[in-house]
Amino acid sequence: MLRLANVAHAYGDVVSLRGLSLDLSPGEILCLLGPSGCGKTTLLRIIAGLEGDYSGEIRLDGADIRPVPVHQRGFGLMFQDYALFPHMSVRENIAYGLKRRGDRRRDIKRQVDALLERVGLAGLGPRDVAALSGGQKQRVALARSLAPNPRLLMLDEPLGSLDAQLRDQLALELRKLLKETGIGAIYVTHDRREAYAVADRIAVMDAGSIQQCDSPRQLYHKPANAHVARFLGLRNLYARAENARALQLAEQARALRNATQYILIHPRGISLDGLASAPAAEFEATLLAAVFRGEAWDIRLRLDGDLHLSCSTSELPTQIGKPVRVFVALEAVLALDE
Amino acid sequence: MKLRISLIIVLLVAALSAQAQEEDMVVLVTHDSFAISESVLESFESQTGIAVEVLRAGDAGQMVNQAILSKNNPLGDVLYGVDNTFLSRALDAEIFAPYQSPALDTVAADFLRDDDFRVTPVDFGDVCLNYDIAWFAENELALPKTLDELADGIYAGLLVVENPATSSPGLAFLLATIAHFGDDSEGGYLDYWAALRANDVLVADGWTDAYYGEFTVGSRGAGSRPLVVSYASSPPAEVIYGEDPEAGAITGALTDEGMCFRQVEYVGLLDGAANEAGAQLFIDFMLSAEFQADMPLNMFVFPVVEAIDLPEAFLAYAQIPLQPAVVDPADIEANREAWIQAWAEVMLR
Amino acid sequence: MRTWLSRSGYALYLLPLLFLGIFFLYPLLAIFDISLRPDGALDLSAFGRLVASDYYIEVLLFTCWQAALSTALTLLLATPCAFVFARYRFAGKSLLLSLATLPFVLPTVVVALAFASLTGKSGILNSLLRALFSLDYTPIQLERTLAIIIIAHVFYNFAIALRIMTGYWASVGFETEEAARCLGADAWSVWRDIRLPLIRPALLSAGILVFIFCFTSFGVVLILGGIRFATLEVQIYYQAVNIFNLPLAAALSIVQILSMLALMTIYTRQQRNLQLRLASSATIARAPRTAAEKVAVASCVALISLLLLSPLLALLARAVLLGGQVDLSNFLALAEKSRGSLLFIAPLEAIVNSLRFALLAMTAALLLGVIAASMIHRRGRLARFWDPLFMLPLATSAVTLGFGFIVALDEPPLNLRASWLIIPVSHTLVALPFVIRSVLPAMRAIPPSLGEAGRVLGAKPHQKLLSIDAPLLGRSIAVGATFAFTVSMGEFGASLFVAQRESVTMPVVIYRLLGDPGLASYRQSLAMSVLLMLVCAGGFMLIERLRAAGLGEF
Repeated sequence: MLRLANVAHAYGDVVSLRGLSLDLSPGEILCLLGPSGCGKTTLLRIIAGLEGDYSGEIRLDGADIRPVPVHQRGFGLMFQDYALFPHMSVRENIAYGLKRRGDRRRDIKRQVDALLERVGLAGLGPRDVAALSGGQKQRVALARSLAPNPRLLMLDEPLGSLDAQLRDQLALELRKLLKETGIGAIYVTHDRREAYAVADRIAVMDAGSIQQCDSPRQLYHKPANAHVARFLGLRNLYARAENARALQLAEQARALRNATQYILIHPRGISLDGLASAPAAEFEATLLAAVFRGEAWDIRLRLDGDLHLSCSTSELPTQIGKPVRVFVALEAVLALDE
Repeated sequence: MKLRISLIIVLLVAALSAQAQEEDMVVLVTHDSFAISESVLESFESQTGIAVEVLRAGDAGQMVNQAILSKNNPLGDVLYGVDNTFLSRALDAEIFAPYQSPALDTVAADFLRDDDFRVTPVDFGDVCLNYDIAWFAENELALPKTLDELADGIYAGLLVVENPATSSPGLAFLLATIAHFGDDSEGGYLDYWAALRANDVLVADGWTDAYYGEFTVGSRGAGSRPLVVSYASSPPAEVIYGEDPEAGAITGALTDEGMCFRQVEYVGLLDGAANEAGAQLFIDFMLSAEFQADMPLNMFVFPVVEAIDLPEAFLAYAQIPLQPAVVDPADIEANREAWIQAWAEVMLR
Repeated sequence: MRTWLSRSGYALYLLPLLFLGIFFLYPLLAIFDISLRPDGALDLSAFGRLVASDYYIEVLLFTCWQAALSTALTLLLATPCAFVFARYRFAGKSLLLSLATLPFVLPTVVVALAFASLTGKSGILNSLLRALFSLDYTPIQLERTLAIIIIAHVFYNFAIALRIMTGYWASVGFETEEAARCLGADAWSVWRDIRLPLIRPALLSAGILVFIFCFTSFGVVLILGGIRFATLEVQIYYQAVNIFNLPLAAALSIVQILSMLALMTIYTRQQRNLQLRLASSATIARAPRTAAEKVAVASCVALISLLLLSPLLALLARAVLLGGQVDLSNFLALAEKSRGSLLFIAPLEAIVNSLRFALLAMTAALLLGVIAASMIHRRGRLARFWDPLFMLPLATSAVTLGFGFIVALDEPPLNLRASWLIIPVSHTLVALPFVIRSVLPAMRAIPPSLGEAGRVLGAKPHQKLLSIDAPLLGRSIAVGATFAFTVSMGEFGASLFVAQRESVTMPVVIYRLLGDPGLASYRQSLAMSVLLMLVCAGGFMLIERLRAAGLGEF
């Protein structure tokens, strides 16, 4: 539906986007995941039409939309701080896009009521937006951007300013809502957990380019490079030159290529009970540390050859400092480039 | 810490203000236009051992008002610069103590306005029309000889005057017309002004606007009015401070009978003066030949003492009208507001 | 310990109140007393005269009408420019803002000169038009019209409105309007639905402030408009000085002061509700990109140049050009003590005087202003009264206050009426509101948690002031300081109405030179005006350097 090709942009001398390309299918939720300053917000603004100075192509259903001004694109954009109109009530905020579209008053009222119901704010229409809680504001912003039935919805860190618990809950609601409406969405976040929960596909961005674009599962299981692995918070990443034991393991898994710079021992392939179905290597290790996380323990092991491994386990196998047996599934040993 | 600083400040201010006035000092309250040569004042100080301190209190009107407001505790010892347009106000408010200066003998008799010697005349200047010599020559136009002639169509669009509400020469010229035509409702000064207005007279707000903005000479050709209400001493000033002092007169003053109004400036001993004796000495000094001879080039006024030699430029370019218009100061004070108001009704509507 | 500290805190708060009481309220009440109780019995017939005659009602109506017109035009022009200033970065922006602020501190005589040089009959514009189209009449005839009063008021107050709105706009940001555009709002809808409603508070405070300045305008109306356009302030002057009708002048003054007090109360209340964020406009502003944006910036620059800079340039041209040649002799003449006259002040000495008074007034206004601002900031309920009270000197006619000084400050220990001290004191009164208005928003923007954190860490109140507040307020204090300095440099009214020894200031010399005969003194007054402009411009460049935080109501 939406196709970006070779989009590049710079703020003065600072390059913010280096020729990136992207496709979005109808109804798909695509997450742009990356650290702050990687260019994801700029990309959103370019798609929305708020940034003018860029090169490359943007097509919507094959049509070039570069000359179309912002207000005629029919895209929704939800801002990080929501950018609610402080001088309008909740109802007026949501109705704004409908008014601009020229809907009749009666239709507007009906649609706003339906949206309020849908985002769980029924009855709050007359409220002043300043009087709302963070979560409520977020819902108003969402309802406002959904109201004119945008062809594409863009969300810039929509849950960024909420606390963690609310974030988890709202992320699920958001996905449900987006899927119900069937609107294609580009969702910007720096939080990978949020991205896993919401996205059909995730594009990991760094320094103005896309590092990898895959389904959440694929991305997690097969990070394309060390950079993505690091950003996803995958531990047990070793430089090829630095750790002989890891290198040996990679050779055993036949994962090694000439160009390989890093070896990742994916935590999902490490187990203590040897029940892994795939071929695995078995080691003697010492339990170095353990942190209780509630649903599991995060533990840290030292193998011979000074290889340190981190993983999770549901039960603590032994006491700190005591030996323990470790199994590493060979399919979880990955060779990565930078 | 701050408290202590503020205490010190308060004490300092108190100390400064409590500073007693020195015995051998005379405080002269005057208007902003007062100017005299340094050497002349030094001469007074060396003759009498009395220092002179000058306190400026705005224009003549403001100065008189301030003096009246402070009459229970006068601002200084001597007040100089009250003219006949404000004299009545000052006298009515009884701000002066009588003093008959022995030097009064030297003053021409027609300047002695106050029988009780509450004020002493010091200088005079005449407000009259100035004209652009070159312009009248080029256009081969005769100069008006009377106020009536000014209303003649041949002088249409040539004159600029000042608003009497905001300008001292403007008021003086208004008084000249009142002296000439009277203030009756029929045929009085208002009818005359209506005729001037019909003759396209221009009203500027101040002397500066009129002279430098509209007068052909003062504005260096930019203005369009070759006739302006100014002073009889303006032609010598134009020569002395003009671009080319050697070129001779470029303006002249119309000083025919009744066309000018004479402003006489007076000095008075302020009632309740701290240094009455010193103040009297200073009043005497203002009538001395030394002081009188120094005034013309500093303030562009004429001395009241008859025997004073005028500076060369004055002799060459200044004319003293022989029969200026006269309006009684008491009448001026009583009618100023009404006259100006009525004038404004005619001219500014 | 605690009680002692809080007691000394109260004593500190007394300082600005004492200052205002002694040097403003007391003289004011004294002159009103003399005016309205001449024989010991209260005589309010003057008020009756005000109501009885249509004339004074007309004066009041005209005063409001011209102020409303001036305010409307100022806001109309300043609003789009404020948007451009808040939104875009462009070369010379801060210089332009400095220059645009210049008129505000220029004495009226200079402004009148500037306008005469530009739009007068013999002014540059008319000469140019006449030469270009070989006209034999004067195409621009603005002298003594309502139009020139309004134009001059816009000239004076444009920068104040520009500064208030730019700062506020930068602090509310531009996200909401982008949101509106994404929702389908075209350019016109964005202005109508988002921009204007959003900056309404700033529009309102700028409007009230400009209205106050135009309502009390004196010199502009008197010199440029003439007596035909009498405002309340001009009538007060006329009644007090020319007619010496003190009861009527007092009645008019009281009407003016009360109506201004009402406006200032609204204004200060408005300011309290106007929350500024500690946002820097530098981070929000960006370079113009599209052609439309570039046109917007260019027209803004063009408007400011035409409206604000061209009269100043005309003045400059008149001062340095003589017969088409650059001639600086009148500048050089300023250094001489011409005429060998003792009492003719060498203009150079006036520059020294001006600088001296300005430094004194600045120091005093700063000290008192910061204390007053913190008092207004802290003492919640009473602040409602103090805040407008400190602004009142801006709305009090100089002649009323000048006469008040003569009457009230004549006995030791306050025998100041003829002391040179009265000049910096009167300047401090006028500069004080500027310091308060600069510092107060910054004080309000400091989160109280910072100070509390300091107190928890063991800072005593005065240590807190020095170690936490002062650095945070530093910039806005510097802004206030420079405003105080420049306001003092340009102050003219009060300087004219207090008796002075030989300590005249630059604006007074300009005024006197203008009244002296001869072209030489006229040109010297122009040169002096240019010098005054340069000094003030220097002050404002300093402000721009220091006000990077973008706070302050001005």
